[in-house]
Amino acid sequence: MTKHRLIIGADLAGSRPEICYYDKTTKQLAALPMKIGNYHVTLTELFEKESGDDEAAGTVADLFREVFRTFGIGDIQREIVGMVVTFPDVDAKMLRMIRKAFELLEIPRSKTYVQDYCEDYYFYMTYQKQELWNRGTALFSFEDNRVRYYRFAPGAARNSLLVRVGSADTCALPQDPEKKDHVFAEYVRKCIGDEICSSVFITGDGFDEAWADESKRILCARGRRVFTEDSIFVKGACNAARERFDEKRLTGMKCLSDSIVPYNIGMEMVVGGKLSYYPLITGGSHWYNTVCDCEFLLGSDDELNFLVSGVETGGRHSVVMKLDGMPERPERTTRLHLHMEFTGKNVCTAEVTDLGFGELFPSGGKTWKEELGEIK
Amino acid sequence: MSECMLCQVRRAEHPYLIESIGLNVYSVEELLYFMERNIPLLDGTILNEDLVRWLKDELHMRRLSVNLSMVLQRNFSVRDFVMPVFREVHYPDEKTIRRVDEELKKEEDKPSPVRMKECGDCLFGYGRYLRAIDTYRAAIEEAERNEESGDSLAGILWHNIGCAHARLFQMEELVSCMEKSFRLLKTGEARDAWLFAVLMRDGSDGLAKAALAAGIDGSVTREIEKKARELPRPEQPADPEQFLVDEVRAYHRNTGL
Repeated sequence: MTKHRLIIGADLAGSRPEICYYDKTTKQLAALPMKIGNYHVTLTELFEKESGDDEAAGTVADLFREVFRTFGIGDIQREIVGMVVTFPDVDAKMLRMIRKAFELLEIPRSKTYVQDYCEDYYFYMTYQKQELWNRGTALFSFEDNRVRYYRFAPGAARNSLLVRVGSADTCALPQDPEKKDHVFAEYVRKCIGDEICSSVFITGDGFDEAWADESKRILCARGRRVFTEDSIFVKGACNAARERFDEKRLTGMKCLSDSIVPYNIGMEMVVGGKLSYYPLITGGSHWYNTVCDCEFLLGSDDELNFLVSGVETGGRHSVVMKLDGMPERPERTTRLHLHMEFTGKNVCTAEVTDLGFGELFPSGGKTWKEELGEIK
Repeated sequence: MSECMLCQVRRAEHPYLIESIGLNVYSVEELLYFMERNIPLLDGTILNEDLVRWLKDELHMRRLSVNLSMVLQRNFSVRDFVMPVFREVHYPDEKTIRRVDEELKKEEDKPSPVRMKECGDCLFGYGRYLRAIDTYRAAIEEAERNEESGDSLAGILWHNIGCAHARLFQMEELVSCMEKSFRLLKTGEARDAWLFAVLMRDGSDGLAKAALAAGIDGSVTREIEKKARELPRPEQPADPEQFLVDEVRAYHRNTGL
């Protein structure tokens, strides 16, 4: 039986999930609708039947097992090099569900990642020739009678190329072809107007050149090159998997999307005998994937001083968290556990627990929880 | 003023027991905190293979445990074992680590009976009276063996043994030790300590008899009794029953009886 070495991207958009695989052995890339045998899967229908995260995770895990069997994968743990799952927008609930599904499939966390469509777009474009994106690109994604705009805009930062990827609100299109053309044309005008782009991509079902005369004129203005391409997001997810788990060809490039945390948070701490900046949160990851846990000994002050700096701007400012009611103990005899996570892109929560100092200074179990406010 | 210090070593699931004082430590920082403040207690009962195994298995400090295993295989001093641990963790700060190093060097130069006396003092401070008594007695034997230190150290040691017996309400032993201390030290303080012990055990009549037998003036015994009357009364505990339970538990723990 042939042993595969597959890198996988999976788009779990409710109505039309897709899977894209890259075979390391044969160097083949293919994107397919997710099917079990000849049966098209519709996750929306499946999720409507489930009553909680665990059931949904079980359904997704079963689905993947069946799909892998269709591919001829016999040993999931050995034959899958890495896997990225994508949704149009990711939230914490979805993330929990997918992580549970990976656990059920026994795929280690180190071989998996979850991201949204903005990041898929980034990885899709950066794996194309640079001339197609070096002056920015635009993407219009159709799903039935709705279209959504995505923007890819490269810009320089201090030591890297920062690519800002964002999206606009979805636009509903009327059924009537003439009206549809006009509404879409207005949407394009609003989104890209007369901007110069290296390329414009159109993807998904719902676009047809037959009704898009006015829209085509706007799209092709300023000499813009327009391409139609299927399955951009799932291909981008697959490219992301190649990048994260294998090829790593995008050194010196960073993606800044709406869900990416655009700043670093750290503290001045003694590490290995020397006072230095210790990073707690490093910008560049999704807010829903960004978590920090560490333990340290409190110094002489009953407060913590977090240093926040922008990934793009580099400027630094402090955010202080007071630990009122901290028991009096000698310096560096209070062990604290710090847990930081984001509840939104700019909202970071810090939870500090007093662990005491063993039997020498027992813990009172006190905790402090604070939202660090709108971080800018 | 000190900054926060990152804990780069995990806490142990199973603690290391410092048996001499019944203290469980769960982290390398707690171990170092204890070591810094209890240099006289650092001996083979703590610095041994069990500790090295704990550092390796519980704290995953493999490199340090390999180094310490090699130290244990040769004729080593406390400083040889302890300083690598401080330098590995850099706790609590460089200034304190240098001070500990200096103290350990001075400790090496002290005569063995003096080190043992200091160990006994630490154990006494932790309420480990039986262990303190054993340590003090061993110090006396060591001093006699080496013919070092003279009567003054032995006198102090007998006094301390007496104090330990007093904490255990062992009055016969208390009086005997205080008398030995007085005979060796021949000071007013040592005399008063002995007479006080006699008063506690035998009352005023016993005090008078003992003083007469020793040729001590009546004014001294009157002064002793006056001081005894003027001692502050202990505060009544808020919960006498719980206080009694706690004291009994501590007694059993400290004596093994």
